[in-house]
Amino acid sequence: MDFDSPDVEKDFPGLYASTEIGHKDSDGKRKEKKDRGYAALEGESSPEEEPDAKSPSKIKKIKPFKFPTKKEKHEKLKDKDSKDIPKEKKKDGEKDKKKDKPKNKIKEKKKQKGSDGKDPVDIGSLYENQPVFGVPLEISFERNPCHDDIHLPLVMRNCIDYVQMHGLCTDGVYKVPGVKSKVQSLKIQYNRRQSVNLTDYDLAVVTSLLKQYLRELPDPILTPDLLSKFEDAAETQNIELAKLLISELPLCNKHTLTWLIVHFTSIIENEKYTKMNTTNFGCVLCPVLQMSQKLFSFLVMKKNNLFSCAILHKYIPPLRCASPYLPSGKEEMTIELKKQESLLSYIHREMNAGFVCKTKEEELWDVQRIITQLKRKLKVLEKDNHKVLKEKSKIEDQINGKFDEVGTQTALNRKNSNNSVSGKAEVVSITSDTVNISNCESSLVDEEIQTTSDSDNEELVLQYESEELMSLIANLKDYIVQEKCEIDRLQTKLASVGIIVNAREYFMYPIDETTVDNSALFSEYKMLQFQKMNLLKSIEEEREAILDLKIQIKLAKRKHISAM
Amino acid sequence: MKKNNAQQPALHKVIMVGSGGVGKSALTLQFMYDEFVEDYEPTKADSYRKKVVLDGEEVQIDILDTAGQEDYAAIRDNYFRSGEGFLCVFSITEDDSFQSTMEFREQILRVKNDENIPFLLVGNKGDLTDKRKVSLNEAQSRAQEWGVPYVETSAKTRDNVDKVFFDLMREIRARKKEDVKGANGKGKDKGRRKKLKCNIV
Repeated sequence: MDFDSPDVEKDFPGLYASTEIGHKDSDGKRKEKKDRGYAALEGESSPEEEPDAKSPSKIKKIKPFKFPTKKEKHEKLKDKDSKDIPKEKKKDGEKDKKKDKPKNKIKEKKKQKGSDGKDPVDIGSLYENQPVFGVPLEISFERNPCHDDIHLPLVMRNCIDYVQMHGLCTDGVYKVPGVKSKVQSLKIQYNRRQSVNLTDYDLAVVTSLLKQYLRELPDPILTPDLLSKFEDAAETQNIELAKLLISELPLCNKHTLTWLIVHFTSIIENEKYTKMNTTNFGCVLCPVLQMSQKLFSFLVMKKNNLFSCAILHKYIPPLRCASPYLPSGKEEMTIELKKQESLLSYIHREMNAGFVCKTKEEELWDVQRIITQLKRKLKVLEKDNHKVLKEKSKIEDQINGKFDEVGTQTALNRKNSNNSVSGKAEVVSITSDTVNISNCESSLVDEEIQTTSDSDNEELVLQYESEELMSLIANLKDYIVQEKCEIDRLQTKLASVGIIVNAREYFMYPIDETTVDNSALFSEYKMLQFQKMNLLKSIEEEREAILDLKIQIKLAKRKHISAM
Repeated sequence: MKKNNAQQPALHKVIMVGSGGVGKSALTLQFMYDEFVEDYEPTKADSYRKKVVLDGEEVQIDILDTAGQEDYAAIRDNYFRSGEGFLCVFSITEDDSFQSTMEFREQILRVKNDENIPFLLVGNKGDLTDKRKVSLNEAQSRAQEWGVPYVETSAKTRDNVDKVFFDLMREIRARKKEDVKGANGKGKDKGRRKKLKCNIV
């Protein structure tokens, strides 16, 4: 926890008033530090987040666990004006109490609960005692994780995703404060582990939320130990040292720093629209990030060296319902399985911390079920690869053994068509793919109706066929879901890369001024599009062939069994 | 599916417990998919859902297949708490597994805090009669002591597999009905329980 505050003080006096006090005694340290931090910030930056703004609502919300109605909010605001001073005292007392209590309280609750004391109010107060905001980064991540490999608390990830999508061309992003009550309500939602939909909120609310989160972190993201070394590195513009220091950061801090800097850089790069350059962006965010302006601009300027391979990709949460929507590709399944397992261990963690309620238990079973299904599917996939060969030799006598060749060929074709086209014009091709798949699906349904009408075949054939078609439809639905996820991902990518390009290049020249390069690309694109259509057609044909063959196999098997 | 959307069928939550390798997963998979898996692969936890017709009524059964190994005991409580009925499985060819049913029973009673929780003692691997180590008498008397039914199954031959799940679901259903009725349910519960006791086939 020690670092040479005098040194740092020189660089940015006033910023770390907190740390000085922090050294006095270790007990009161965190609280004092935080309060002082607010006081220091208040003068320096955004007027929207006065420290005492959060106390009245916090006190109120400890009892009832509904969102504040509009009336309540107004009352609160009035309260604040009239009783500012007494409330502040109250808050301090309350805070102290809260700090002592949490652990005991949880244990008590756990005991009380037994089998069915699942009172939502209890859970609510438990959440209040184990919040996501205002705790060390690592703990916050544990309570509010992303279930992919990014160790960034979900709240920050959501905010960054949102701003990357909607805020890269907005004047004064991060400078304009959001409506305080809405920020507060979002904070409470995150603290209570509710699922939050940020799209219902304004950009300013989201940026204020992120700032609020950062401000409430008890320690700087660069860690108290390394902060002064980072400052030194910035002072001497020593990139190698900075790289080394970044690698020394704990995983959560490293990821958080990376994401924040890359995100902020993309805003600064769009200065033309955001009106935020390094200096005034630094003014807004340095106090929150607890770093000097110099260090901030160093990190932003050298972003490409320091965080060379960092790409912000949108968070896709684990799937919440089983069966037809599960992916069917091996890779997608493995990724999903990893997410689900992370989610499962998160649920266990929360339950072990005392958050036991009906919904949590149901979630536990649901997630467990998805994991089981994914594992089964993966196993089947692996076994199929082995079995296909065996089965082939087994029933070769009865059917011509071409079916699996066709199968693999189709898979290859599909891959090729996706790769070749999507590489060139990703978004367009994927959207059209999705459309095609749904077309394909409907045509297959048509086919089913057709075959039903020529009912000179056996009933059995029809039954098998419809079975196959149903499973095909399920598969296609999977694909649609997957493609949708992919579209999401690419759109974020586009948001982070494309808009910058657009802003810099395209917006400056009229769009119809296409260069020679462009027209060449365009014709290539057209050709690829044509190729893709052909491939899709052949896929469809081959699918039909596979379907027939599968039915034949089933019939043959049936005969085989009855013969035995 | 299209027609029955209006009413969600009742959902009964069953948990499989017992030490490692006694055939909890084998029983579950046989019940779920009519398949018998020869190769042993320890379970961590798996969950399944199936629609079945129980005495003419469509219901859903959620089965949670837990780990037999002690390594996963830490997460067991979270699962046990949410279970409505338990199949406590041992292998009739392995005395240790029979002994450890005591511990499982205790753990369940501790977590659920309820003596009358729907519970079946299940002796699996009934097809391996030549390797039997736990006598029918022994198992029956333990079941009697606990006031629960005892059933012998074979996941391999599918003997009594449906029976254990359906019997347990009936108990859970009865239990739920009594819970709705209220306080006078408990006395009845015991009477009904005696009838069900020691169902050996």
